[in-house]
Amino acid sequence: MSEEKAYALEIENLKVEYHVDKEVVHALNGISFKLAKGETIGLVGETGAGKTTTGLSVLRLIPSPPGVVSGTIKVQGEDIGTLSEKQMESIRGNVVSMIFQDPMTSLNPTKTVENQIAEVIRLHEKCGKKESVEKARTMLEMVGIPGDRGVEFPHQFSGGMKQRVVIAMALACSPEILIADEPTTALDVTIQAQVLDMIRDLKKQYNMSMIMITHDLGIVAEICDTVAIVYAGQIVEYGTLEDIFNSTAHPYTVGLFGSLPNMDDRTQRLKPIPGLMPDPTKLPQGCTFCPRCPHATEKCRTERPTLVNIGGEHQVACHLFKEG
Amino acid sequence: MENSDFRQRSMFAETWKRLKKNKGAMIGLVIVVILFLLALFAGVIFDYDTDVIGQNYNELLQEPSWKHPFGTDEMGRDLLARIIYGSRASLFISFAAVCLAAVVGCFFGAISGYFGGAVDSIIMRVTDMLLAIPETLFAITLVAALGTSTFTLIIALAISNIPIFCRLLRSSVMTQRGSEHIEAARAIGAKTSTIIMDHILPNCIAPVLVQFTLSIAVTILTISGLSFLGLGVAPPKPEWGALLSSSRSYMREHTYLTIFPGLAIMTTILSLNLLGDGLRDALDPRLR
Amino acid sequence: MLKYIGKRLLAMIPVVLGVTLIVYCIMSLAPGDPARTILGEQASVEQVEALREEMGLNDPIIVQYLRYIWNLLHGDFGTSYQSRIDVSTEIWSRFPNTIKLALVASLISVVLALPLGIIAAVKQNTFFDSFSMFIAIIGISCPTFWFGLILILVFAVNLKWFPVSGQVNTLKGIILPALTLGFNSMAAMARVTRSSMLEVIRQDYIRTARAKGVSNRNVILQHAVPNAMIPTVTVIGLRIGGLLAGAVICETVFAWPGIGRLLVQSIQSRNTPVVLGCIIIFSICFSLVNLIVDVLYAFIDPRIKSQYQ
Repeated sequence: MSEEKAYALEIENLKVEYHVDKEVVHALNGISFKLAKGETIGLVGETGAGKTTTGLSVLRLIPSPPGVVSGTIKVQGEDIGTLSEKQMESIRGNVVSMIFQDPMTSLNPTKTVENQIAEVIRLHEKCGKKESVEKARTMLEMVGIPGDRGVEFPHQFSGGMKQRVVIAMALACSPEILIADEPTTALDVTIQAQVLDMIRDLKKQYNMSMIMITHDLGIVAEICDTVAIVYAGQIVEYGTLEDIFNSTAHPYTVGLFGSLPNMDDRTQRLKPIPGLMPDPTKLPQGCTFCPRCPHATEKCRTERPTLVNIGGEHQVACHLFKEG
Repeated sequence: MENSDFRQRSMFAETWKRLKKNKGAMIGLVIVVILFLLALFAGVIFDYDTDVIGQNYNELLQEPSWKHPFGTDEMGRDLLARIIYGSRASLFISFAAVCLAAVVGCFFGAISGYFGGAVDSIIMRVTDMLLAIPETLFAITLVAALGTSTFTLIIALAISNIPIFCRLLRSSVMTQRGSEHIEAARAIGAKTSTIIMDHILPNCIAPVLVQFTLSIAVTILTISGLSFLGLGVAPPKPEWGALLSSSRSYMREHTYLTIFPGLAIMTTILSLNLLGDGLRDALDPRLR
Repeated sequence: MLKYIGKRLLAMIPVVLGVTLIVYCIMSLAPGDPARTILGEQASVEQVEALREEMGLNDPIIVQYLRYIWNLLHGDFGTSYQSRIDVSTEIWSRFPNTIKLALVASLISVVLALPLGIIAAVKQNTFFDSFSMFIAIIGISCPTFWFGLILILVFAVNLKWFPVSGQVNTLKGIILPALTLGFNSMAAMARVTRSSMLEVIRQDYIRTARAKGVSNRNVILQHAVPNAMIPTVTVIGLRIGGLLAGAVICETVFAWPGIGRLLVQSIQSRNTPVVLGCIIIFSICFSLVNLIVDVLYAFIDPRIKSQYQ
């Protein structure tokens, strides 16, 4: 923490609530992290933990109403909360891009693939129709699709190809920050590796910062520099790849690793985390993980822990750990 | 079996709970129920021979008053009585026609969807042809050939409603057939008839119910249209469309004769549509 | 594309044949002997029998039907029993009026319904949404002829802005009939446009478009609307078909000299050949509208188009 790094993205105490049918869904409960230029952070957690919501918040795409967003998000030092809708439009797809989870439904079925890529180019760069389509074809070639297939429609592409198109679209304007929301979950295993490799190479080539949203610790190990473990809309553990993998602290993170099969000792049984994530409309008063935690104490039930530093950049939100 | 019975009942309870929240649907339901009761007990309130078809030359074309809330027509008959009795014709014919259509349509639809193949293509070609003639036009054709009678009307309207139910059941049976719980039933050796009756049909009730409500609405409209053209229910028997048709000669001076029967039709159809929409939303909350 | 249109056209032929056969058979059930009708009550049984033979009425029904279709293909609808006037002349002189009415009504309903449905969906749960959907549900619940009568009462009788009965050749004369005919379809189209827009707006690719930085307006106009049109067009087609049937009633209300009114008059005068001709014309138009919709469908849904390239 000695020198002031240049941050591509700073998120401070981000909270998102949805007000539906007189109930309040607490989707995010104070998330803070910083992403340095050229780095990759992994947001890891179960389905419904708030990972996608975090990604959408950065693009300011949380539907409002019913969503209520508070906290600050700075993209390259600029607070996006203060920007007009028009300024925000010039950031989306240009400075910050997002790859969505399901490539099957992420493309518009009535537009040709090249037109969908050309659209984002025309929006953010001054160029004509013809030029943008040409560039779109170059982008297609870059993600390994023959440029002349650009005139086809999404339904003529396979799942892996569609995800490549989505990636080409996200990268078309060389964004500073790429948010990849489970980019390989919907794909076949063999295709997953290809797409992942491609994302990593392109990231290096463009020198982007990246948020990798995933529940797959294998992907994290392969791609990320830092990792944030998200549980019930909160970061429960944060640290470098080594911190998380080699000196795992939070009981939830331990549980996540315990749910993975151990290839070296296959006689060992899996240790799944018992129970389910709490209902986001009725979060427990204390630690959100406490009902499922093997080490829970009385303090855990009444008092919600905050993130404390336990060495280097390694932070954890758990009463078992003391600052130091 | 007990378990599935429980599931069915709780599904209806769930639907009813959602339906109760929908104000429009509840208003529709209340009005439909009131209309039913009025039609059922019309004989208690009015005497058919004196109030509905009996002519009274002392009270020709009276404006609405306490004695005759909707006024009287060119033969001195009470318009309110005629409108309430008129609902009998509309409700009876449309219910009979749509029930007939639903039974026949669902039967062929289930066969078509479950067995597929040649049976399916034959049934589908026939429904294509029936769908190629608009309901009103088909009824007009039949009435033109066979003359106006309640029976002709019911048959004509039933036939034109068959294809909708047939298609509806066919498509839901087809989706059901491929689903896992049917595969499972077949795997444990259930008979075809058991599969259709116990496993497929209960899951098709919802869309059929919605279509039933909406079909009743459209059919009442068609009946009144036909009567307006003089091809439906014949005078002096009261029917809403026929009332409107005869009101035309007095429309300029006696507007109430035109307004009330029309309002009666519109209220009925509106309630049925509100109820049908509400049912659809309640049965499939995803669509909302 | 041509292949697709060709295929749809071919598929239309058996449907039209089936429909005309059904209609022909039903009409042949009509009581009364046409030969007797033509010759009158005084004619002898031999005379009637001779005429029946001459008219081919003793042939099996299917032969009579095929002969009818054969003549129809040559533009001959037969002769009217009473007036012995050529039915074709009668139908073709009225046909343009019905087409004119149906076209204006379709135009009015589409032009009003699409923006109404789109805006209602975009502004879901606002006053505009509730209000336009209220109008729409009134529209589908209101009998065509009653709406026509009320329009006449208000705008023709009281305000005197428009003529009481339709005038075929003036703009003023067509407005009330077309509004009457189109109101119901407009309402139905607006409802379906709204619900398919709501469905589309929720799709992932709309979120993708927003994430690309497309402005709100263009997300709706360029991404949502083209997709929402796919189910909407089907309903538009069905409704325009239904409009033809509605024309029968509407023409009667406004004394509009089209085939709908001709049909009703012919039924009352038991003029079977004219009735048959009118219904067959309506059915063919209905099938043609469906064909046009199918073709339009291929233009907006690339998934169908690409099957035929």
